[in-house]
Amino acid sequence: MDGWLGVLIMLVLGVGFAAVMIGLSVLLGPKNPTPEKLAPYECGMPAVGDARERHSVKFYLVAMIFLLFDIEIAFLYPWAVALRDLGWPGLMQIVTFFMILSVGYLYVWRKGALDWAPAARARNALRRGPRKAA
Amino acid sequence: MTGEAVAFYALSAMLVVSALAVVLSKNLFHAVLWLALALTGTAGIFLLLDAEFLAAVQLLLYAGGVVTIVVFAIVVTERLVGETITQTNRRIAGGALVCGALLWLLITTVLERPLATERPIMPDDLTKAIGESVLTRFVLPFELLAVLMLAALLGAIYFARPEE
Amino acid sequence: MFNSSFDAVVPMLCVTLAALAAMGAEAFRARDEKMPIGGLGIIGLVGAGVACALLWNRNTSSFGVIVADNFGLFVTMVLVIVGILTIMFSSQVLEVDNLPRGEYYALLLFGIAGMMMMATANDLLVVFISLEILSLAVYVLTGIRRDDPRSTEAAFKYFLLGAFSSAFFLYGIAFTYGLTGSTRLDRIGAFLAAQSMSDNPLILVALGLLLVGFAFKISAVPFHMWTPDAYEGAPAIVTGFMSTGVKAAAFAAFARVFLSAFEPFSQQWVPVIWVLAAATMILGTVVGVAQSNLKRMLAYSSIAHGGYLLVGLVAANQIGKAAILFYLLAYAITNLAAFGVIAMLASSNDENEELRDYKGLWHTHPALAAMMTVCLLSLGGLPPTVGFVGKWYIFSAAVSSGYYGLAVIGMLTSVVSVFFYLRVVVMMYMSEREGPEPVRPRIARMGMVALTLSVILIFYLGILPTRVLDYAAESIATIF
Repeated sequence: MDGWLGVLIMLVLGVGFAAVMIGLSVLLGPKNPTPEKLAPYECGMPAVGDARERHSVKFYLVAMIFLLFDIEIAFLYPWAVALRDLGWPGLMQIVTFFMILSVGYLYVWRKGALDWAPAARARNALRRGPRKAA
Repeated sequence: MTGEAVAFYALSAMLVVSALAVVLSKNLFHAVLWLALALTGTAGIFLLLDAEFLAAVQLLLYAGGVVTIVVFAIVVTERLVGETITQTNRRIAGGALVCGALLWLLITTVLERPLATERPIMPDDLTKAIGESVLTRFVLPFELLAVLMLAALLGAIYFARPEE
Repeated sequence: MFNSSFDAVVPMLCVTLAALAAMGAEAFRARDEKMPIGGLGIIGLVGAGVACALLWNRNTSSFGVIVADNFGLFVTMVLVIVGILTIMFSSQVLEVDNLPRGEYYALLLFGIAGMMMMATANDLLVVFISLEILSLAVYVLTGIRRDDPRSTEAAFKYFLLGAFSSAFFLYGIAFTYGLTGSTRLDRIGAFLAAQSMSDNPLILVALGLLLVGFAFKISAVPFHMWTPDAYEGAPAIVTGFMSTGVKAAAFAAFARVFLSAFEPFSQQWVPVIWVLAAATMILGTVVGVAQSNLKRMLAYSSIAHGGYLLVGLVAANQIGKAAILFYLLAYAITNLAAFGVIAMLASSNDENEELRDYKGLWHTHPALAAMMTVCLLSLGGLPPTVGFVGKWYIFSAAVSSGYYGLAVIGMLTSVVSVFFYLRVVVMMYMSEREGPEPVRPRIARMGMVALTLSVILIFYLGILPTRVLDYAAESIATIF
């Protein structure tokens, strides 16, 4: 438990430093607002439209896939720590775990959930044969 | 009071407040941010219990991964973007009653017959112990988790896939 | 490292591999290519069935968490039958509704694998993980018609309440582990038998939380709220699958956990389940009478059947335990076949599931009407069908254990339920249809084969039940 004191001190210092700096700038900084200054920053160009618009559902798919493989990585860590003691059987088991999940990866990949650009989608369509006339 | 107890009570207070804020805040996005705080607080509790690996996983998967997913789910859902939705419903009194009863039940039973307070002797490297037990005693549940995640992936992709 | 045998997991391994193969096949399927993925599933299920037959009486266990005792194998066998029948009924439904085959069969097989695991699990952790596998698969299957708002709503409700009940269950496991120091059922049982825990209220909290989790899954009153909506919104064949498969698996785990690990506390939990059983039978029957939608009516009927199964759990003598297993089989075949008929009559834009849609079915589809009649009579428990034998054993178990009240409630509700089953039969035969005939799809041969098989089983088990009953009795002998 004692080893965490350093982390705590660092946390306090980090948060404290940020708070002090922002607080100082709020208190001491000159305030001279103009409409241009208050506009949201968008690469130096005037902002177009509302920031709150619906995004592509692909973001969600990517997040979901990310989480799954994130969990996979989380399980790798304790295995790696105990690698020497577990030996070959441990390796076999972790490989089995990976093989099962790789079926999911294959599925995601082949279903085009990882394709973003229109070019990739067109390529896929070509590979899978012409689309049936709807 | 030891430092550990202080830390525990501080974290618990943070947990309770943020958890309440999750269910009571009107803006869905704020609720997600409170959720992130609550999950981080849980990681802190795990740390206090000497479960470093679990704390790291909690931060990585929950405060990191799950919160990201919820945020993405909000930004891809047309109706939720920028709207303020009342999360509370008309049955809030009944819900509070049931929750209160459950809380009272748990508190009275735990107070009446406390669990062992002695901290059991832990192996030096807990992460290593976890690795060993996951791949020996619990190897079947471990492989099952892969199957579970696969089924979850299949379902999530199926529902979220855009129309062809 | 572990010297345990691998045999006990073979049945579910067959199904899991079939599921993985289905998923892989779907991934590499070219657009518009037709693949026999359903056949793949049947191969896996037959493999599981053969493995079950070979493991019978051997009482093997794997990794210390899966036990292939006869009890688990009997339920696994029921699940194999449920799986094969579902796949046979599904081919037509998938065609008519234009559902994705690969995903459908993969999820179905994942679900069956989870159910098999749940039926043979000897560790609360494995029970939980397999419960999650089967639940996830069934949530998605419920909403598989993702363009249909009703189906999506049903899936969503089911998912929310299911997740909630899983939390209860997990909380119960945590308390049990905290008190007994193990998640293994045999060790929990030994610990509870050795230590005098009866004055510790925490064990009752653990017991209660586990009970709530199970009651949700078997949709016992008052935890049945999700059932009618989920069953009505899902495609009919999925409803058939989840009302039989999920119930069989959940009941197997329920019986195993409560009758083996928590046997020392039967004084405490038997009265609670008594009340649940009575409420479930009464509400399922009384509300079922008032329904005008056939699927919803059968949903309430399946709630009521859960109540009869609970009676077996309360009685819990030798007859009672064997009766649970036999009833699971009887109910699974009958209910699945009834939903199979509904599924086969549904067209893509209209499900034809209102009671009035069945008026005069006898004139247009005589074979289907006849077989539906058999299923309904069996659900109502009339001889010479399997439903009669199942109910007979359940109630005689209750009587021999001295639970006369439950037996009387069971018989009364059975009589009332016959009324609503017969109402459908009367509609099919007596009434003439007014107005235009509902649009019905072409009936596929595969579904008819499955239906015929079910009807043969219903009569066979109804007239000559001794053999299977002996198997059920043998199964009980191995664990309790």
